[in-house]
Amino acid sequence: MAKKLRGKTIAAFLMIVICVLLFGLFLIKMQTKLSVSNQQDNTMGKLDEMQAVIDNADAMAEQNRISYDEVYQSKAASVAYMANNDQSFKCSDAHLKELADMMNVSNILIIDKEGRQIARADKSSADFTYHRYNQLRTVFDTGEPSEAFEVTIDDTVRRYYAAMIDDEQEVVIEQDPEELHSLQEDTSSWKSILSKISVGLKGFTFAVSNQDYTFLYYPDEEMIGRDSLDAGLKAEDLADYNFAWMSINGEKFFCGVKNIPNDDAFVICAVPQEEINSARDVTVAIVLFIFFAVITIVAVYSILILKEQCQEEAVQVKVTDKLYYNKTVGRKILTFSGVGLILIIVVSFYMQTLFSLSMRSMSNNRQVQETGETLKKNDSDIELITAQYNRRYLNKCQVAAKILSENHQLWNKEDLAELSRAIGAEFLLIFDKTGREIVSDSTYTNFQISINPEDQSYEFGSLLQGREYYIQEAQPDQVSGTYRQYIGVLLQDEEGEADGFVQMCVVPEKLEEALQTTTLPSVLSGVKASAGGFAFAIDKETGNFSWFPDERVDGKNALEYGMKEKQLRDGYCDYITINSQKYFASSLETETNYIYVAVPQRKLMATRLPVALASGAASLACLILVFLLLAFGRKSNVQIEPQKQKEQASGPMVDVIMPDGSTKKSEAAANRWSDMGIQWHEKTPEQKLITILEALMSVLALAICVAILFKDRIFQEDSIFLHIIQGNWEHSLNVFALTGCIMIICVCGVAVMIVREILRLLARAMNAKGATICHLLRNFVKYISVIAMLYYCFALFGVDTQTLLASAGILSLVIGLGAKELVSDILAGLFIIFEGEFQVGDIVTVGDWRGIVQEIGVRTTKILSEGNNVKIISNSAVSGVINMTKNNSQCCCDLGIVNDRTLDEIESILTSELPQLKYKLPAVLAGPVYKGVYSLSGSTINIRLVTECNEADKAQLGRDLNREIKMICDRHGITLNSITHS
Amino acid sequence: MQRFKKTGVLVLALFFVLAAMPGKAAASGKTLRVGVREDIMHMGYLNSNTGKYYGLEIDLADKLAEILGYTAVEYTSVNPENRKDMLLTGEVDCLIAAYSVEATRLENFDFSPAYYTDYSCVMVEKSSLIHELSDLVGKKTGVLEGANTAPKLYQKMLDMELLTEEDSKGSSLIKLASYEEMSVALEEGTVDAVCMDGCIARAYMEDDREILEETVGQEEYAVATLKDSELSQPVAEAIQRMLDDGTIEGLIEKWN
Repeated sequence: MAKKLRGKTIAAFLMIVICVLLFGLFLIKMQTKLSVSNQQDNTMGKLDEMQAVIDNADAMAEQNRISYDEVYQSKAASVAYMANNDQSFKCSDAHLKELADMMNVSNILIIDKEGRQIARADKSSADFTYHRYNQLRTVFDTGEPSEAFEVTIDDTVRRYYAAMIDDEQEVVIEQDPEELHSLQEDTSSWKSILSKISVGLKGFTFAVSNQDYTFLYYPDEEMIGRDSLDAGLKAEDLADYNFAWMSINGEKFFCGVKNIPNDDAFVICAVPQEEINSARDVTVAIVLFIFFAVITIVAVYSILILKEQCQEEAVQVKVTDKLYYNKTVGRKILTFSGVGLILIIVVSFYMQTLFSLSMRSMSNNRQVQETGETLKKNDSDIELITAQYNRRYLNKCQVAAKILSENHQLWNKEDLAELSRAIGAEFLLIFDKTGREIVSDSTYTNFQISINPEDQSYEFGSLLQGREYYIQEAQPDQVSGTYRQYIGVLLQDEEGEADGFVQMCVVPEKLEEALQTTTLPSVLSGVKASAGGFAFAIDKETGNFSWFPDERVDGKNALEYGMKEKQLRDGYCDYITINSQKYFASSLETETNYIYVAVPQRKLMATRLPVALASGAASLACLILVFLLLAFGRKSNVQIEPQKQKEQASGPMVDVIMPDGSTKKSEAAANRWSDMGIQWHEKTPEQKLITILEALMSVLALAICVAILFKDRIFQEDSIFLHIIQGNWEHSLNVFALTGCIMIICVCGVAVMIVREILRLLARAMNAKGATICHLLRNFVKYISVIAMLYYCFALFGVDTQTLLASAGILSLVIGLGAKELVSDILAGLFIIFEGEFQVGDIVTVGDWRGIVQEIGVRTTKILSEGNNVKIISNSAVSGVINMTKNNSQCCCDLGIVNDRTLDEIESILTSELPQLKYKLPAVLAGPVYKGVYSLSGSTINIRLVTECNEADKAQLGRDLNREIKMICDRHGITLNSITHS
Repeated sequence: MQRFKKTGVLVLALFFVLAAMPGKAAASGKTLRVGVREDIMHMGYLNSNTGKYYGLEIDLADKLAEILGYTAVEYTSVNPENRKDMLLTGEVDCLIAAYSVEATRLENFDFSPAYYTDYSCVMVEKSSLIHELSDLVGKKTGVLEGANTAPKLYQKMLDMELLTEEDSKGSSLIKLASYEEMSVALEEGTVDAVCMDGCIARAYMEDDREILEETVGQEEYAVATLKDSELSQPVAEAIQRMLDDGTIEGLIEKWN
């Protein structure tokens, strides 16, 4: 029988190992697949927008180019205009040099139709007679400035513009396009585009040439230009929308590829393997542990029951000839398996929620940070762009002022219009010293600069005081309402005195376009979080949406659309509801707005239930295997081993009859509070199970505790686990708070366990008083830790603990009457300890109860009587204590002897007999000694015998002595009237 | 003990056999020496950072060597001037170097079936405003020294009656030493157009440049081996096989 059980045990053990391994593999595979498919979805989103992002950048570059070219084309046109209309214009090298300096261009040349140079500001390495420069000659056909093109000669790049002077000559501007190129580098280079695209938490985007497979861009600059195939990529993996694991320099990445045919490149979004696995490992470990716990408990419990059944009849149902179904075991396995299964599903569900939420909140946080930084950068960009355009406009106006100051014959409407066209201005105005308009090609006539500071033209008055120029900010025109910008430049007469000023008006279209890309809506609409996420903003002052993708919501009040006051703050990270849609969002405060990145809830949680159910199904399969193995077997022959049964009966376990009539094992009252643990073999299967469960839970708690204490060393900076531990999440009823509670309970539990264990060891080593205090401290630690944990957990769940504390005062007042007893008990307990009324181990009598003090608690004292009954007395009810703990106690026997013998006779009999008793009764320490007569009455002599003994033995010894004395008296024919002991 | 010894001997013997196998293979293995280009993107291109070759012709050479039973392939960079000599002197076993089938070349070499058809084309700078072949009249066109594009362009222009007999020398054709030089000349304007093979032109293509739609001539690239050499027959068969089973089509697809 035992052999068969051993076989089963080994089989069950093997099965547990196999099941855990299989389940672990299953979990890892499923989680990886899930993480990968999640990542794939995210990456897919990024890839989808990649072309748009690149096109956008290209469009921006194109816009930059056009506006840059426009500036130089208008410069060429201005020079051509001067050549035709400026009387002071000389077709000489020196004059062109002067012009080039004023206009901020590298070189100005005048060439004829064949390309021969007539005059030049600087030497040029270009030979304009070549057909290469045919583009410049288009001006003779069109009359318009030519399109720009670049020529590289000996590594020097020059950009060429031309404008016609007359049928034979043209102006060529040769410009170093450094500024344009650096601008293009900033807007449309791979680096500028891809470095901004983040994938996952630590992922990045890089580009590989589809021509020679070199890296076009990689975050590590050193890699750029290297061979990607050498780094570990495979040419066949590089195909449009291919998702694969790729290794780069030995590191593995999950990558998605997008082919960008226009640029001959593959753009690849890569996420490091560790990021995908980091979420996986902890989830798998915890779910696997729970599975292990469940299956171990089920198996061990069944085996323990089977073992116990060796001694009693088991209910077995015949299935086939040889196979029997063990009903008791089967029922218990089913119960435990069912509970375990639910636990596994719940834990798996919980872990999935936890990790998908923490992943999400981390990536939301990161995205919102990035958006905030973009907005901040945009503010400086706006300044830069505005300054750049202002410089360009000012230069135009200065050129106009120069031409006009030297050529008063141009001061008429027609010539001004031509000049405006040449320099690319809307119109020009010339003002005299008094601020009155002299002439203009605009519709304004007789305009007077205002002296009212509120008027738009007021600031231009400063030009009359000798200020060189004034650039007004672009704004809607006060008169016409159209969006315009005015620039004024001082006119000087021949003596260099201020002589009125020229005002130029431009329509800052290009500036507006350039600024357009930096506004809040354009930035926010560009934010594409994964899983359908988006960004929106709420105005700080009004509480209205300053931008929201849904037009119906945009501009409305956020609070009216479901947001809450407390959600409008920096660093919010939890669920929000907008327009009855639930989102998971993170927030950031900027100067004027709260920026949010939100992801719809339904997209977030789509996978967690299937995953939980799948792991549930897998564990169900494993549990069924265990069930089949353990619940079925050959018929067991019952051999009752009486000796064992008897032994068991004498243990600390007792049978109790439950209210429902069933008989259960229970620990005897006397043992419950004692420090002595129950020996393993004395435990019932249930108790053994609990011990195992406790051990498993301790391991888990310890592991969590260690993980939390050494978090900085164990976890990497960006890990999800750290995010959960650090508590940067919203304190409310959510999964993080729940996790936080579990962690606190684990840490506290472990700490309390250690403290209590230390106290227990101390109690053992110390004397009785020390031990008593240790006991009390253990008791105290327990209560305090529970209260502290509760308090902290409430805080995590978002309960305002400040108010809780404050209300505790009122609360105590309210329940003060009810708690009166409790308070007096606690105080009484303290007095018992510190006045030393008694200690643990003392023999005391309280009221009519005599026994050994087992424990002095905070509220109650437990006294164990000789009959192993425990009396639990409230501390406040402990009064009139007789503490009988002393070295030797005295046991008195009072004999009432019938007065028919002389006292001499009796005394001589006692003297001879009493010494014998010491040997008969081992509890006697000294005596018994005859102590004389203490009363005489009619026919009775009352004498007293005193014996020294231990207090604990006193009662029993008294009875024994009485018996012995009665027998002595009988032998000697002494008649006893009465005999008592005390 | 006896049994253990036997097993030991067996294991040792097995070990020696295993150890000897690769050695044996290496001894019997041959290296195919292939002349390839190092300057044509997608065909034969040498990454100077890594010293590795990439491209259609490189892959083709690998596959060819595999079919012919070679265990290794040694690449040697050749250019239009020296490729003929390299093969003649036996420095390479074959040429897979954008080498086109020409009647003049058949004297010395055997060609496999063509694996790639290319078209010679004319590339110009956009700023020169040349848009078609007829614009080239009176302009300077750069061609590569030693390549057969020059006579073809000349012929084509004659055919189109763009050139007259007086200009029969084709004085507008300027011979340049390398593709790089041609590109620089085009950039600086010393030539107004360049004429080169399509696959090469693509490598020098930039946003500022334009390839004229009209092509000059067709080039059939094939593997060249010495006339009547041992390799000629197997190479031709192998290439034919790869043409038939779509291997080459796949490679062209891959490198396009």
